[in-house]
Amino acid sequence: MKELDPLLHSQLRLAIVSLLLSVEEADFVWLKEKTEATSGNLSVQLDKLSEAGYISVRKEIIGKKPRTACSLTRKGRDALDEYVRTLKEYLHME
Amino acid sequence: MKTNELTEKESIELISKMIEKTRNEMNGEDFNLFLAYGYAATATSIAVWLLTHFTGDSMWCFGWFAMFIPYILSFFKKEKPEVVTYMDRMMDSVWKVIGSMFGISLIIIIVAGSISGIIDFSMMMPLSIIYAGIGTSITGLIINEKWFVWTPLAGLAAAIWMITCGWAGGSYDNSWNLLFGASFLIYMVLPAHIVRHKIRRS
Repeated sequence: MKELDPLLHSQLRLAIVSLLLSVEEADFVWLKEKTEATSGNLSVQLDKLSEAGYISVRKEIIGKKPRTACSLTRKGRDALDEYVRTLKEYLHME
Repeated sequence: MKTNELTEKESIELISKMIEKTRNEMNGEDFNLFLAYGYAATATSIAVWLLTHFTGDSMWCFGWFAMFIPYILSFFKKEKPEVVTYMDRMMDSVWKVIGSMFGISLIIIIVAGSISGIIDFSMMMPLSIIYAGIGTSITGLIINEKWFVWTPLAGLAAAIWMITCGWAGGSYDNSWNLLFGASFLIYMVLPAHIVRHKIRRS
């Protein structure tokens, strides 16, 4: 049986990718609110997902405030798709 | 939320829970823009009608250019939403196209009018009703709200009335202002209030 993607098999990273699956773009504040994670932890996990090419992170200044916008990449979408397929195999859902 | 590993069942539950959270986000539309443009059009239509009626000066119809003010102001809006759903992006694109249709129509009327020597903006009224009605209907289809889908037909009827009057040798008259305001009231303000009420109740 295939192994689950270790990058996604973590509570916070999986939550981030799942949230981004249904939206086109979300900012850091929204992700923090939905995942109930601390800023530091969220920031670290976003970096990991970004380095793997699963999400794209865009930093910009709106007015005088910094804004970090995240979106799921094609690679991230495929990875989540594969992750869910493997999960279903583990759980004998297919 | 921690970064610890999960069991397979927990993973599935977490994915479902997160997707459910974003679904709630998609129901968060407040339709304020529809109310802003709808009420602005209604108020302008009454003001232009009254001014034209009591002064007899049809130049008051240029008061309709005030409708561009909210559009221009939106460019200076600094805040960005925390989350952009696919629905938001699609609606944004639809209204950008509708906005371009307004702009192009205006430019063509000015250019053609400059060549012919008569710049007549009266055709902008039925065209605007049709364009905004198309945008509202498409919005209704995207969000699956029949009030937004079908009420623009009332506006279409008003627009065809205006165009037919033009073809029959008539031209812009003061009643068009009220027809314009009534159209926006029917297909922007009314559905926005109904749908907001539905959302609040649910």
